[in-house]
Amino acid sequence: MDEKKSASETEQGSRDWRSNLNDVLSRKVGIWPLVLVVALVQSAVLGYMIWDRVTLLRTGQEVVLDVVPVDPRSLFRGDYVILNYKVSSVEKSLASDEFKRRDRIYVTLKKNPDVEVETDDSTEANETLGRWRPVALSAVRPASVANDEVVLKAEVVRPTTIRRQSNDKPIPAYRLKYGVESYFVEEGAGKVLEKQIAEKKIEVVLAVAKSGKAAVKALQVDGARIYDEPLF
Amino acid sequence: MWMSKQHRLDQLKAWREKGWVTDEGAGAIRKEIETRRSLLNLSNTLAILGAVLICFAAMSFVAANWSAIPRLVRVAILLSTLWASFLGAGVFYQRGQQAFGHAASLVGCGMFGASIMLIAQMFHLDGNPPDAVLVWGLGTLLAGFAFRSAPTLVLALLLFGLWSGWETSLTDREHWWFLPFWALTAFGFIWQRWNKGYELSSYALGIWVFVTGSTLPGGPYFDGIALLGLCVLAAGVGLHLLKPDLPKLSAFVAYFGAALFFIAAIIFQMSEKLEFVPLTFSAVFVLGVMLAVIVWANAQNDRKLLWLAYAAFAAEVLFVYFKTIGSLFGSGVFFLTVGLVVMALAYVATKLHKKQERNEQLEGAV
Repeated sequence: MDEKKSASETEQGSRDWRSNLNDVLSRKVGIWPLVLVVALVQSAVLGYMIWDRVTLLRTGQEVVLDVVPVDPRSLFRGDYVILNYKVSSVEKSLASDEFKRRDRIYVTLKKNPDVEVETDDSTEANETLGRWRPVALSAVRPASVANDEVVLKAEVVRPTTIRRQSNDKPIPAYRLKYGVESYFVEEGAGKVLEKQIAEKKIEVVLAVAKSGKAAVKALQVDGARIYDEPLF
Repeated sequence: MWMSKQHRLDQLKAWREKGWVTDEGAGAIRKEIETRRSLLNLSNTLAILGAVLICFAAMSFVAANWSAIPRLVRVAILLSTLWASFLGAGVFYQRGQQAFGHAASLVGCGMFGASIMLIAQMFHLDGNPPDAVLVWGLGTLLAGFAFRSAPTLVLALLLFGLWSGWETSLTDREHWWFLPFWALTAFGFIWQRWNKGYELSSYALGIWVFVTGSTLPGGPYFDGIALLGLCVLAAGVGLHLLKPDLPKLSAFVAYFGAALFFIAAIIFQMSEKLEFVPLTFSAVFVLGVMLAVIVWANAQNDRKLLWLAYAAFAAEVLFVYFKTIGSLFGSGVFFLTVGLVVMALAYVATKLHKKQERNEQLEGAV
């Protein structure tokens, strides 16, 4: 009898906190404020994603990088090209530390004055752009950055090796990912872009924030912009 | 707002005890709940299937890239669908049409995920894809709690599972962060007293335990998982003895522990390629635990645990048979020994049962 009573009391107790919570939501709050909270929070998350990218594209420093893209197809994300940068593999000797897979690091790129800058008169912004080469890898963002340098956030994909020339000995390096390796294009346009890339030399214009975060701003072939990102 | 038939009947019982409902009224309500069940189940299932199809349609639109539509218009379409879904959910919940409310909530959460993917596509976001799944899961969890919608909580749990699995596959490391998110969804199921949700949570946790045991440095640790299962099983039994007023919880814990132990023990024996003697010892131990569980489950009249133990016993015996098939003498000796032990246990159980019956008769006579 006592056992039954205590079971009933426990059940009653456990029912109470549930009932209290349900009462608060059903009677005191009601359904509409809850609908508003859910829709507002989810909309705010989406709005933040857009605001973050638009701010980066609008205010970020422009950097031009050479790429070698390929064209796979993603089931859920339409047509896109994979952008494989020349700076996607960086010599280990530039690193301040030993890094492992998935480490978040900072890559300092320096504008290379020796490289001839290709410009396109029709694109005003290009006149200020040059080629960039990696000069340092560090676990934390460098405290001071020179005027001709830019810092990019990256993730270590895996250790690898690179050769400066095809006959050189392989040098230990890190394979890096900057978060700007996918570029979505109109359905079917991926193949066209791939053909253009095979025939000409393609470059990516990145917008880089002070934090090191980067976004693809445009694609250009021989200095002429073929895809320019609208803000909206 | 998702109320199982049992929950409604429990509430009805409580109301009748409080005198809020007459016996006659309670009988009528009970009859109504019983007869409406199949129809409700059908409408629940159809509404939720419809929601899943709408979400797939949204994903296909995202895949098509919407190249002809300006970005702002695309975002406006997605946001208005998201708002329309949640407003629709509000209307359905207010009218008491729970199934359609849950379906609309699912569509809203599906649109949230599709919007994350579309915005990532529009701005060429290529960060860490599992992060997007986590954000999707958190938004879904919020909706699950706000609307007290078990199907929405199920979607949140699936998304957290996908997030954790993806992180694990990318890093080849264990992923402890799954646990707090799992606990949040499990709390939601407990709050809504949804039995299927408890089961689903335990499956998710079980899979996580196996994945973690396999990916820990120096692993896989199937022996460790078996030991953990044994501890959980013992905790279930202990809980039953110390707190007999929580029979459902103790049975649930014991079942979860037993399932972990049996599966991990069999995988351990299969993967370790044990020699005859260690194999015999481990098999005897595993069969011993299984027999103990059969005895316990029988005493508690716990059919679910009993069938699990029977199935595990059969699996272990088959495993040992195939493992020792090369040595018929070895397998013969093994099965003879186990057979004798089981028969001895059966004899002891019968004696104990008779003794108990005699005691009860004596007490009755007194």
